[in-house]
Amino acid sequence: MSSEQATAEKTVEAQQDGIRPLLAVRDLRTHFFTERGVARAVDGVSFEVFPGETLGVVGESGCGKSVTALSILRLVTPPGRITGGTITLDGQELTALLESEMRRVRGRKAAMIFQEPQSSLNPVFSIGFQITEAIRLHQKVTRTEAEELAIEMLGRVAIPDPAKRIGEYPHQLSGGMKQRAMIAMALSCRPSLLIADEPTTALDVTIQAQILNLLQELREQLGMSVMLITHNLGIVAQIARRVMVMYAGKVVETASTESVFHKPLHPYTVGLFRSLPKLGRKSQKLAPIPGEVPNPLDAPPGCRFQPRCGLCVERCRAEEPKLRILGEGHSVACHVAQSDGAHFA
Amino acid sequence: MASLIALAVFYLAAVFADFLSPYPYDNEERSHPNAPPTPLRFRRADGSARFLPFVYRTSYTFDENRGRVYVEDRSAEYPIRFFIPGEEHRILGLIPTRIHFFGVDAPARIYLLGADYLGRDRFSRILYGSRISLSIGLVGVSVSFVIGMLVGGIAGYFGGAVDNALMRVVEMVMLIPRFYLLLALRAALPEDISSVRMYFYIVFILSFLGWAGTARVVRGMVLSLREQDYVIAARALGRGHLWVIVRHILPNTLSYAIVSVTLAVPSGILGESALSLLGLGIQEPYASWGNMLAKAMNVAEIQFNPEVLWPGAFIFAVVMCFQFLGDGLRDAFDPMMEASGVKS
Repeated sequence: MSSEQATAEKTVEAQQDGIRPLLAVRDLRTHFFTERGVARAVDGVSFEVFPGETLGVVGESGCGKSVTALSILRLVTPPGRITGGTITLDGQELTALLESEMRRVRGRKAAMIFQEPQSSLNPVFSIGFQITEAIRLHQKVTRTEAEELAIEMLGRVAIPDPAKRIGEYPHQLSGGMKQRAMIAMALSCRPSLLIADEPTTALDVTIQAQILNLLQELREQLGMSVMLITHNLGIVAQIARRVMVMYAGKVVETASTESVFHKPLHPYTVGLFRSLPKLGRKSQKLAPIPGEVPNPLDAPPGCRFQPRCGLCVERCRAEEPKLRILGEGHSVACHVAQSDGAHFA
Repeated sequence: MASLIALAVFYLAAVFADFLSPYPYDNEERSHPNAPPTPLRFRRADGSARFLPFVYRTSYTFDENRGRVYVEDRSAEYPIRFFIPGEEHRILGLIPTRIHFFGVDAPARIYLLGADYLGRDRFSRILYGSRISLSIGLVGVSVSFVIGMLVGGIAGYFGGAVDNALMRVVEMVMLIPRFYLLLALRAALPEDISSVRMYFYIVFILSFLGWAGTARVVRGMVLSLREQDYVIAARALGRGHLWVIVRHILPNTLSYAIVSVTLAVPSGILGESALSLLGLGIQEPYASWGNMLAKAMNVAEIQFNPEVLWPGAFIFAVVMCFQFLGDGLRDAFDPMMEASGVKS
């Protein structure tokens, strides 16, 4: 770990008024050992999630967002493997745990919801059965008690008439209802961290807003932290307090939502915003980021964004940039970035 | 659907075999070897009609070729009576009773499908034999199915080296022709054993034969099912691997499994019949369709007593029923058919 990075972490922690992070990921490396070579899907990712906050994780498809999430729960399947780094959840080092101990963490301390509500519920069981199963796994309650808890959870996620819905099967519910049921299941054991992997991507826009509001409400009610993975910057703006931007298995920028939206410093983040349509900028052509995401089997030398970057200098091709603090809680992994954004001028 | 009803009738008949059959399976009547089916008479000797059929007492003489000829003694009528007292038995193994569903008073005997070489009623023996022949297929296939599902589930779920190792074992089992494997396994077991133990050995042999095919297909299905989000969702909630396989993945293969069980049962029945036919399975005096059919291996026997083929007819009927049922179930479960709105 470089000294720069170490300072960065210290500073960020200091800015949290000494609050210990709920989740601290340090230098996480998850590689996939395929026949064609090693794909470094997550390569040295560090971040933290503080109690009660929502962290937005943004990036293109294949940038390592989901693999990071799965790595936290240690659910990466072969040929993928966590090859390095530490994951500390609530003071517990997860990478050192036995599988049996890890099982007690999943669901109870950290739970996860997924992109496709239609495939994340088992089609052959009623939703009530699936939620009760999750409850009885971690809590010593009788079947009837678990059922009552399940009905209460369904009520909390605003499913109308939960006592009746509990006997229904996933195919009888709409997509939004399924995602609500999924949230109820994930939260049934009151985890302190909820990882939401693109929870609204498969839903239509009005339902998206409802689900996001619901997540916000539940976060406040239950006092949990949410790690929200998405490729939709609008969603991040709506509910995240801090944002982490990932590119090709690396964190390129971390900052409060406000500063990311008002003063993005990494060329990639800026590119992301330029490629979005914006109100009040009529008839202006969208500017896609040139080039394409590098093949994870064959990452470019130096900065991974360097082949697509308009600001690329010699140093970018030779040396990999580390996260640097460039403002209050704002760190950027770029050689040319300056704290006042002057490098874009 | 018709085949389902037919199978239900077969299995009910097996359960109530001792009640439905006029005689126990080992009731010998040495004066009636190889008797043909007793003719049911509706018309008295004087020409008047009776509503319920009756039979005459029969006895045999020899014709000029020293062949047995059965003649009826028309002096006394023996009407077929229902709920007639006979040998004591227990319905469902619980209720002791002497009542049989039908029969005739001694000394006349009724042989609906003739008698075998010891004068035992073939119809009664087929009923008793169905207990073994029908249940052994079902039990054997269920056992092999549990094994097959588990092995397939584990191989498909874990993939990689586990998958490789298990599938090579499966291929080794599938490599050996079924019938020789059947014989080899039988040869590996002791020779003189009671029929009850033999029953369990046959179940074991049959399940050893059947699991490999199931395992292979289930593995294929699991390979695609494990990519479903609910698998990782269950893991994310803290479930262990085995639980996820058994409770989340395998239930999704059940529609296939049910069809496959139905289609596999006949091979179990045929396997038992084949062993018994060769005298390696259920031994006399216990009846099974296979060992009854063993008498039909002699062409001359078929020529003089074509009734020995009756157990074969029953095997044929049951196997066909299972095939039709399996076909019907497959159509009913087929999602393609459902999607296009075609209902069977």
